[in-house]
Amino acid sequence: MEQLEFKLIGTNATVPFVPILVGVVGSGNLEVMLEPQAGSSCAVNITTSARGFGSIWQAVIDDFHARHGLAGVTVSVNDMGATPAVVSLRLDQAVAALPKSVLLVSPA
Amino acid sequence: MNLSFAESTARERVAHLLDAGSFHEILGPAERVVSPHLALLGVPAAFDDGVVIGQGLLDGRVVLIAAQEGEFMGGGVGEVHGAKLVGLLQRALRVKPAAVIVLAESGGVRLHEANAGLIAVSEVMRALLAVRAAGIPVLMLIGGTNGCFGGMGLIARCANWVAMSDIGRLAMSGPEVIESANGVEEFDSRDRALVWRTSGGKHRYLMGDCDVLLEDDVAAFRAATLAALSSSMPLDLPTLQAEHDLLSARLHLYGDCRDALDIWQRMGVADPGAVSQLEAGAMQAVKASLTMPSVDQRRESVKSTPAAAPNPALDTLLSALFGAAHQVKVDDDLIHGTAQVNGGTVTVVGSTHHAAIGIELALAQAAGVLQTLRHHPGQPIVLLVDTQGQRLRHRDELLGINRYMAHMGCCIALARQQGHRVIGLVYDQALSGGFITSGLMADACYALPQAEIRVMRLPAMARVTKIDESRLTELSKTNPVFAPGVDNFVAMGGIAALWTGDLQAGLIQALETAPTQDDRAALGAARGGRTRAAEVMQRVLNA
Repeated sequence: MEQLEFKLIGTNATVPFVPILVGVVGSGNLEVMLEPQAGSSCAVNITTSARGFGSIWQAVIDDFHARHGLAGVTVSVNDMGATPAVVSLRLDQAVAALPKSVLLVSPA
Repeated sequence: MNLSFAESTARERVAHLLDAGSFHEILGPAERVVSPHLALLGVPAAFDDGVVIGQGLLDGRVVLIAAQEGEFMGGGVGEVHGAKLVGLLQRALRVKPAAVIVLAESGGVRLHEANAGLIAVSEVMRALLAVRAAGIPVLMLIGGTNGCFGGMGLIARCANWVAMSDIGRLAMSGPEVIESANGVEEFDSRDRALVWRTSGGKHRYLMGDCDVLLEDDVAAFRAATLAALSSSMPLDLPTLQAEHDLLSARLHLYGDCRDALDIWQRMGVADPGAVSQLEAGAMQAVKASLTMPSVDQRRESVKSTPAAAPNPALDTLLSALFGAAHQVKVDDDLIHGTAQVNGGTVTVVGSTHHAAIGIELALAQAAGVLQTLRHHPGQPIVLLVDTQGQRLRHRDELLGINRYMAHMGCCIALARQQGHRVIGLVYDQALSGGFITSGLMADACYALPQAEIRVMRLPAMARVTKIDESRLTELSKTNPVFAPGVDNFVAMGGIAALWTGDLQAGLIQALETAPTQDDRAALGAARGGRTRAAEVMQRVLNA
């Protein structure tokens, strides 16, 4: 098991929202929770069953941030060995589950 | 378009089963009430510990609901997961909802926190039966791909009403467990047709172990649940006597059958071979056409009793507990009879020779409890526990061993509700499911210091959890939550105390002081072995 933390500065500000949960902590799968936080950063906290994939997580999170640039959000992940593609899918699914009014810029 | 129940997550099932937008989750993911044990073993937690609980509306009527997520740890019941279920059921006594609905999908006890899970299952059973006794229906919905096994299989058969889809399975031991214990000839776990006709929805429906058989469609589950809201089935003596008669008759009628196909044929199913191809709707017609063989409903199962092998250790124990002049007999693996303690008579029920609890033994033990309820109101009951767990046989699963064992648990719960004191004593071995429906259902369970209590040995646990055995051994020195050992069960509150010295004095004291309310979670917290359960239950209650 490994814990990873990323902190990114976003421009797509959010208004406070009810926490969102998507996905399940099952084999090859993960759960993603979005919660509001104060400030303009996007904090990503990951717990993953696999060790030694920090650089891949960094790349997946960078891509995610390039797509959405969320600000004022904490992203929490519990991962059970999902592939990068599945991780990206779940992250986008979580953002898509946010009410439209929450985001400054709606996802394309 | 239909929404598949099996393909949906627990969260999706709840959202679509209830009136749209009516669900209010209790201890939702943002509260992070997670398992404190998984991280130690290198396993990520889930924010809801694999169970969604809360309150909502079903056609405008208030219901409490729980849904297990079968994809997370196989839906396994751990400390927090179990405490959320217990808390919800306790809350039902306060809120008085139209029903408590449980969407069960679970392999049973979560091995990573096996001791806590084992105790939790018995806590759920006791809490559930208290809800039933209060006249609130408990409805069980089983339609996930992981099935409903082990401790959850017991819990399911404590409910008023069970709905299943054809995909759903309801049983005690999984086919893999039976195959690994007794070989592929006993139960080929890779033969899917065999697995499903042994434990799948259709077989359970024909046997009467589920009340309705549904298509794999959340809307169908919603409609059936709605229709069942008014189905109250009290927990009383006539109900349990009827259950006992049904289970006796089943054993008598089908006990020699080798396969579900034989049972279906004997039931009068015109073309048993075609059942696997039928839709759920067509199964109703099949069931309606059955010409059940008649049986004398009062007939108890006939049991040959070979001469008991000498059992000096048990004789010594019985003398130490009851003095020389007791009327306790040993028939094969069954202990039954009466004894005098402190000037009063007690019923003694139990098992010996490290018995594997099969359907016959579960039924015989239940008969002892029921007989006391019928003829000796208020007479205390002493459960003497020595079991290697449930019997791992295909035949037991075919006939619904989880229902037989749950019946024993229900009888004990009814005894308590009718004012009988029930004291458990683990005098030798207490393993897994056999312990849940005996000692763990008592008002309080005690143990001898040399007793052996466990869910699974560490080497087997290492294989199943894929965690290094040396790591498990190391952790077990400081953590009581998964490792075998009677002291661990004391620390977690599952065993009230160890009896040393004068056993009769211990029994007399227990009969006078054992609590009738389930206080084991608080005991576990006070002793530091189970730190979260009581707190989680309280939070659910107060939410």
